[in-house]
Amino acid sequence: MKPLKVTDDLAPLLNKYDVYGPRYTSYPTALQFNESFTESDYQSHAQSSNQLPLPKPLSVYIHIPFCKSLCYYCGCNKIVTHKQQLATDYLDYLYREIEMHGKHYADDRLLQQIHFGGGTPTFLSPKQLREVMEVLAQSFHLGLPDSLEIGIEIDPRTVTSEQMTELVTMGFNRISIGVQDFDPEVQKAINREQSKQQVEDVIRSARDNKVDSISIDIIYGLPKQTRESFSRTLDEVIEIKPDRIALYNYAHMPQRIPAQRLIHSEDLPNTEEKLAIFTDSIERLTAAGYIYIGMDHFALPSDSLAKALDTGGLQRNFQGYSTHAECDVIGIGVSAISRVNDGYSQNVTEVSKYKAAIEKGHLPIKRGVNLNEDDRIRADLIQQIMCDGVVDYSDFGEGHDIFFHRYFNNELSSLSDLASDGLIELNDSGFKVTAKGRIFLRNIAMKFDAYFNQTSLQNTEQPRYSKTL
Amino acid sequence: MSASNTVASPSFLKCGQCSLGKLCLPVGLDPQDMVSLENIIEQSSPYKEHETVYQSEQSFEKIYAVKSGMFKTVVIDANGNEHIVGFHLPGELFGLDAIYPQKYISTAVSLGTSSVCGINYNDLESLAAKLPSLQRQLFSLMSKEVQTSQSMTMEHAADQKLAGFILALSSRYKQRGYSETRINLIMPRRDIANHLNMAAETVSRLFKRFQAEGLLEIKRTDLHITNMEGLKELAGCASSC
Repeated sequence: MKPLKVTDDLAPLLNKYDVYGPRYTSYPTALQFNESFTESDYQSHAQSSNQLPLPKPLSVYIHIPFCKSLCYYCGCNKIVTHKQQLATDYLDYLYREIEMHGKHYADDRLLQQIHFGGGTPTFLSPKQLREVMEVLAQSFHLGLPDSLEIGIEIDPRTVTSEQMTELVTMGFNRISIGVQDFDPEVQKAINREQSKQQVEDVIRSARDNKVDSISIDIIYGLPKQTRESFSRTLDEVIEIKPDRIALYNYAHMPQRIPAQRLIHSEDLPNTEEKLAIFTDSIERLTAAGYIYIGMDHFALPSDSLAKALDTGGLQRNFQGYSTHAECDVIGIGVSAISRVNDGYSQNVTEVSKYKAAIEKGHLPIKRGVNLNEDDRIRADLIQQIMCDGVVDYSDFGEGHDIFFHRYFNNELSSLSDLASDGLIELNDSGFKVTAKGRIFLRNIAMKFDAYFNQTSLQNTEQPRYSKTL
Repeated sequence: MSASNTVASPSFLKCGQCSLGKLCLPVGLDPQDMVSLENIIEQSSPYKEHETVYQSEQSFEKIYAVKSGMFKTVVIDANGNEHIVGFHLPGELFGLDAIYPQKYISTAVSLGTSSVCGINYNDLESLAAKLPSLQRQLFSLMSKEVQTSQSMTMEHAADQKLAGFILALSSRYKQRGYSETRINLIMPRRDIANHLNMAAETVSRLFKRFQAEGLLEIKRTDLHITNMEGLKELAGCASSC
């Protein structure tokens, strides 16, 4: 993969392709989930997944919905509280849900990946996190230590160096730290004030304890951000030199996300400024030696994500990019999403409904979707575009028992525009995403999204997706 | 690109139009005789996954030719354990073991959406008496069944058995004009395990080992043989004798 050069011709493309669209952490996307999907659908997918010739390993996502304070930009499902008792109560039910899932999987389905997200997973004390890990170990068969990935999102305001050491001791080997922006003005405008010292302390402790991979999340497009201010944030991030950097786009959708109404829209950088911040960031991070993985992700060449980009081992799941072999994903906790076999499902979002379902001995599934043959074909293709960036029509066709040209006749005729804009290299036998095209992966994938092309998504009054850039 | 075995032949075709005509009962029949055969064949609507065609102990009436998909035949031993005696592919007959006892010995169940042609055995017997080439093909198909069940009784190491099983499927699909390197393993792994008399976990462990050795690749139910010679070498006697 060649290093990405940001040139002057990027700006018009950024404007042209800045439309509302899905992020393809799943296909079909969550918009296609419906309430006719029930617990028994999930159970039958779990049974079928056990019966494949080579069942996939398992991955568990645990959702901890609590936060001590409200970050105004955040669209996640969360409860802002200081009452630790809420978490204690919640965990009682979470453990029962873990046990219920564990019973569905064959003994040789090793758990290879555990990820804690939120909310703020570090709302839980290290002692509570240990308890969750123990219940997981009791309900599933854990993979070997050298292949078991245990990750957690860290809020540096809630974790001390001592606690960080405790987390590593119990097996956490990947952390992602929510920095968002180091600028005090921006931090005030988003109600997330944290010092560089706090971030550095956590990272030092993680490094002293030999954590495999440290990732930092930053967000562009936040209120009070300017090219100059964000450039200083980038300086500090580059100085810290995490293994991975996730550069997220702030999508201002106050109609859908009430917390965002606390952000004054006049404080937001205008479109031109925001795009400049984005291109500056790509330029700065790649110049500092980071490899652009695609979408929001950057990684040092030494990191497994960058290596996987070269060897074609990249995967995309609900948490973004990953290097792990494709797993069946079990989402546990409120609003968590599972992908098992050919079914996606999502839990209820309210804690009260969550508890009520589990009290009755049911999995707290709210909605989901059963993938049909067409969904499976498109899901594989979109995964291949988002990860490998290379599609060979006859290889893909043979692997999926279709004649690619006939099956994707309409889609293929719409690719020439992307090719003339230099986002893909197109020839008779297939196409390849260019270095520049990796910025626009969503736009390329959208061409093959059957649902996206069915519905009008240019509805800007009530956008259901964030903008692509 | 080659079509794999998931492509179903259209239902309610006459024998003369069916793509399986070169493998199934009509081999060697002239057009006029073909019509006589077509007249005693009964095509039913496709079976959905896990539907029963006939139950063991049920009185014998018809033998069946697979038209599309796959069927398994299951017997229950004296201890009440199920044993899968065979998987039946398009163009293959099942129910033949009921001719002697005049009742079905096994239970036949569809795997995935599958279809069959039912042939009344008394009618077939009378017709075969008049048509020597039909009789020849009937005996030939029966002999094939005997051969398959004999090879199953041989003792082999687990990896040899599984490699042999895959190779046998591959060659049966090849005879049917399908890809010999791409096999859709639609049966649950517990069925493969049961058929080969090993644990389900062993089946997967071996597949994983075969994959690591570059013999094959598996994605979902799609098995791609990447080193046919290597697989044959491993199977040794298990595939050929």
